[in-house]
Amino acid sequence: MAVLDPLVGLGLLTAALAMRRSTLLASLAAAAGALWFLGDIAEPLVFAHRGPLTHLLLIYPRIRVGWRRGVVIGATYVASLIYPIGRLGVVTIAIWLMVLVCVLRKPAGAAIRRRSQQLAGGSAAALWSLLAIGAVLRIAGVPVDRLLIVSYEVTILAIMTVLIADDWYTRWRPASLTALALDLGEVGPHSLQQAIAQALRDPTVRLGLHSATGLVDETGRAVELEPAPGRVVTELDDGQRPLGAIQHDPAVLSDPALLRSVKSLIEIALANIRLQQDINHRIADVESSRLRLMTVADAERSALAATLQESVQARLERAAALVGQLIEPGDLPERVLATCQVVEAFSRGMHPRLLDDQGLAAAITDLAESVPCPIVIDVSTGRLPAKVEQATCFVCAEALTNVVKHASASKSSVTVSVIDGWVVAEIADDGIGGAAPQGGGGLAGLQDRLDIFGGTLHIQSSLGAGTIVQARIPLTIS
Amino acid sequence: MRVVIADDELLLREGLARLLEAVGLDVVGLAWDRPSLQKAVALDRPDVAIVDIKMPPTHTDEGLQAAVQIRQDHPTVGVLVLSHYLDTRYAIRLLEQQVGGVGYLLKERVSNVHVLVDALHRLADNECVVDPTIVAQLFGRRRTRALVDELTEREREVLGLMAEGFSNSRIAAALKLSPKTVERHVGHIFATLGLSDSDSQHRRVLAVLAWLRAT
Amino acid sequence: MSRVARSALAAAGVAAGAEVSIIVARAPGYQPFLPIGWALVAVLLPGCALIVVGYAGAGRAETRSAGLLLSGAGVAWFVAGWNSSEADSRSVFAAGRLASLIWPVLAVHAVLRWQAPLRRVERALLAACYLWTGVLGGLVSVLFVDPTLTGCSACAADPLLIMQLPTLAAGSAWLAAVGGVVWSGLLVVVQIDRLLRCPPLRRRLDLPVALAGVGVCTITWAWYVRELWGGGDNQTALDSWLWLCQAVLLVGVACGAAWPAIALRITRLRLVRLVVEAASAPVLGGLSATLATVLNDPSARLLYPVADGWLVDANGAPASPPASTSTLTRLHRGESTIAYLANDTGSLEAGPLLDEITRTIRLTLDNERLHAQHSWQLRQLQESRRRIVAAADRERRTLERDLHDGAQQGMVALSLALSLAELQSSEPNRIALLQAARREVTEAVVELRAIARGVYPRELGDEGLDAALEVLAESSVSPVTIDLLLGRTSSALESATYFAVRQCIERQIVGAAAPARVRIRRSAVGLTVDICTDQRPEGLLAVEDRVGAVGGSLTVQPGDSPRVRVHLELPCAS
Repeated sequence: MAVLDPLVGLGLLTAALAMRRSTLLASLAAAAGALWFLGDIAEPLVFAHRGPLTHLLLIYPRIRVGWRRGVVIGATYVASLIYPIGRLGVVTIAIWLMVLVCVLRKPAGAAIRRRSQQLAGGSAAALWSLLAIGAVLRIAGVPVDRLLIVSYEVTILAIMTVLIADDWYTRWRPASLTALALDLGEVGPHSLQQAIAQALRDPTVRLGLHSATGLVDETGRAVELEPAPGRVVTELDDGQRPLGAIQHDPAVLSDPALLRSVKSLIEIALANIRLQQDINHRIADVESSRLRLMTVADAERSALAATLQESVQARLERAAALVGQLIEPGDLPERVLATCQVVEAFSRGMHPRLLDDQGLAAAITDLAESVPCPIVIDVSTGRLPAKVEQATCFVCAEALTNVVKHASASKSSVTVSVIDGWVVAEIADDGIGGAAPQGGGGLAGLQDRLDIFGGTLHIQSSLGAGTIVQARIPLTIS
Repeated sequence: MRVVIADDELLLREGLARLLEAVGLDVVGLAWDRPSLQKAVALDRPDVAIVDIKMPPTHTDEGLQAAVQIRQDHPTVGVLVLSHYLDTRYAIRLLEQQVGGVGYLLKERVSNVHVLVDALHRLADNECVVDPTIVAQLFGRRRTRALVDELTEREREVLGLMAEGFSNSRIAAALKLSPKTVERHVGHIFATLGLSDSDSQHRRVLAVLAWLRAT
Repeated sequence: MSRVARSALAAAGVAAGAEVSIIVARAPGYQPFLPIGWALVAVLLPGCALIVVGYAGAGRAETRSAGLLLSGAGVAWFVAGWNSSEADSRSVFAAGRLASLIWPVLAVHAVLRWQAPLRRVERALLAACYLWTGVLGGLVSVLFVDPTLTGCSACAADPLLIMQLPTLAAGSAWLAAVGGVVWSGLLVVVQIDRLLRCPPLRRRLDLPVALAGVGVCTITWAWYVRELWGGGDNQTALDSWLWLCQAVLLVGVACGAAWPAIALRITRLRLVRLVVEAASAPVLGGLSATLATVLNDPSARLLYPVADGWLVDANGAPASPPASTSTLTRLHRGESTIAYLANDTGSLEAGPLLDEITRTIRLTLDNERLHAQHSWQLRQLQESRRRIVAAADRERRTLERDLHDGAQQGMVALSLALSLAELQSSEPNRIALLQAARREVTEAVVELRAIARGVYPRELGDEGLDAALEVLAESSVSPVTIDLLLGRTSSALESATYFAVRQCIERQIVGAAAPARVRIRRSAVGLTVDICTDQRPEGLLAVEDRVGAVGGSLTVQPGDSPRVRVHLELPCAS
């Protein structure tokens, strides 16, 4: 087993090389390696390596040393450098207990590195457990020096291997990203900024995402990130285009692996925000387009009604006047008048003039004249805004058309009233029922129209039990 | 003159019949769809049939097809097709398929009884009739105007009447000119527009209409 | 609380391990055919493995009791090693004897509990096993037999001996052996049954530990059979082999118990890597593909709930209803449902794998869900817009037909009647009045015709787009050339195209040098329409709305100036 001894030293030095990214860790590992070799030569330094080694394990990978760890590390250095104290088994056991206490406690610092911390802490505990067992056995008088030394060296080698592997793993795999993603996932429905702040344990982190108008926060509002005393602004980009910026405590993001993770997550968030904005724009576009279409269709209808009235109807009325001057008109005046009324009915069907002039009650009464069954009309609203009246009149017209065409009812009713800022129009009949807003009929068009204005349509119609069409239209149509 | 009237609308049928009888024409048959029309033409042997273009079942161009059929079966019977729509394609289609004796008028034209009777007579003489409104629309097109501007005023009138299906003699009567003058104008028109003259009337109408449409 | 328990168990394990290694070190022939070093390893390795894995397991909520049981089994294994003639004291030996009978039951209990909570029948069976072996096998022999009297000269005296009843002891030992054969066989059956009943995804994770448990039980059964037929306390080579096999299988149990955690970790890493790769170029629906890769199930897809209880995919399109063979698993955070996972192969029980997946990709899942919901909303709006336009078109056609069939016919009939009356009159005044009236009515007919054409051209519905455009070109004052190479398409498309063309050529200058040009061609997805005019058309917004309602797009391109080219792309549904 003579080969094991220098192997351990070499292992410590290799670990120092592997961890050269962090000068503190590398120098501690190098010191431990050097002291190991020195310990082979000089007897008083035989325990010296334990100090740097334990220090390394207790702060790996990047733990801010609190007073507890500081005490333990200090005690270890004292015990390792001062040979007579280090020899005492009691001291070893005491340090073992202190290390256990340290390790079992949840370490302060970023949660990202939990696994690495647990590994290092476990290694320190294992190492000192071995030393403590050795101390116990020596006190008990059991001669296991050789076994102990071999296992001690094997343990150190194992620890070094594990640390190097962990270092490699963390550097080349997105393990920290996993932990961050999990942390973010655990945290719940908070904003990305809050989640990152929690994961980095820096509540003052502020996040700005890059957009066409500069830096914005997640809701799209503009945000300014300036370096301030004690705070630093890190720009993030994926090599080609800027992603955003983080304002944070300088110590928090100095780890490049962590930076990479945060960048990836911000990319995800950004991509999603872009998608959201894009689709929100499209929704807004389609909504306004829909409104315009309906408005244009209504305007065309009104224009048509007006044109019919001005041109065709006017001429017919002139013809009626001319015919009226005849001495023996025969049935001509009635015929002219009848034709005139046909055109006027067309005109009224497209745009009820009565609505503009006299309001809902008159318009609905007029509509109801075409309904064959007895109908009860109760319109208790006064004059309302034009669009509201038009929408309500449309609803009643469509529902009454349905009553006339499909219901075969024996009686029906129309009730219009204002409740709580909503115009509620209810058209009921006792006909055969079975009306449904699906299927592209007039009722589906009603639903679309009301949907545009923010109203609701409710149809209760079971076969054989009559139909109730209830529409609610907000008084504040934009 | 013996006339058969075919229209699916009762009021129009009856109204037209009464009107024609009031001017002395003989309404020998009334029909409301193709089968009844064909029966009426076969049985009552009219000189002219007045046919509404829209008839059951599809109400698109049954009248047109019936006109073609009648001209094939009874070449001596003239057919006047009445339409609601200002659509030159139907007029062209009608003229293309026939050797004269067909006419295309807009519905409201029938209320002017003199125009109507005149058209019926022209049809009985195996000439063509095209509604002036259609011709006017074709004349109104921009490119037509540019080319037609090269003609004199009188020649333009002659062209218009030619497009309406008038024969030279009728043009002369309408414009109070001598037939020779009319022929001269016609020759000049054809030369200017690059059309070849043709003896039979309906071909001429077709040529002019086609030319008017093409520009 | 569990912290205390597992720390205590770990400490006990360390102590027991130390003790057993002392015993093994002392006895040169601990296992007849194994050298002492290997024997030490064979004793320590399973126990350590069990205790470590049990400790780790006890730290997580769902495997807390199983972890404690596993550590307990490890400790019991160590203590069972005290069942040797080299034991320090009689009590140690007695404990070892007890433990050597109990530890298989503990191990199987731990294996069963590790996979899933115990059913009542399993619980009862295990309780019976404990009692049987503990009382009959262990306690009785400890309380009523002194091994010094049975020929073990090196053994210490039994401090717990109540009275020497060798026959009772022998009888109970025989009963215990019989019972051992029975219960170990039953436990094998129970474990295999559980394995078969397991859902396939769970089975992948639990197979190693279950098989190892079955192995341990089988060897126990073989050992009891050998006891019944062979008997005696002497260690034979067969005993050693059985013991070695059990040691190996116990290591297998520990590894199998650790396997799900490792598998989950691997899955999680893969998932995160895939998600991060996809993050730079998000593809809608990519999350489903990612999950399908990770779960090795190409039929897996994610569906999101929207209002009215619909399920939509990542694009907001309503999901085709899952076939009867596929299952829907709910992914949730607490009470709120985030998404549904639909797949064909058996059910993915809400197990650790699914929870893991949900936690890892929650960020992306939430965002995809939001997008799906908004996309669905967008679709509803587009559908509504399409309906509005279709309804308006229908209304226009009906209106045009009614105007012609109703009003116009009536007016023509009226003019005929006026004409008749005019013919029948002789008085010039009367004739003049009637003529004037007739002229008014005729003019009204002409005007009505123009109005009706403005509302909707009849030939558009009856004959199609090419007829309508032909007539439009003919009746337009400024020249228009139509270049059309098309059959009939849907009425919505033809309507939209016609009205777009009409709107665009309305403002064409009458004296323009070149005619307005309209070119319509079929494209891969539908129609392309190009309208070149001299002036920018008015009312393009309305045209754009109409075109958008059928799913098309409108762009204005400069063309060869000063001409303006309006380009429409209209998709065909079929």
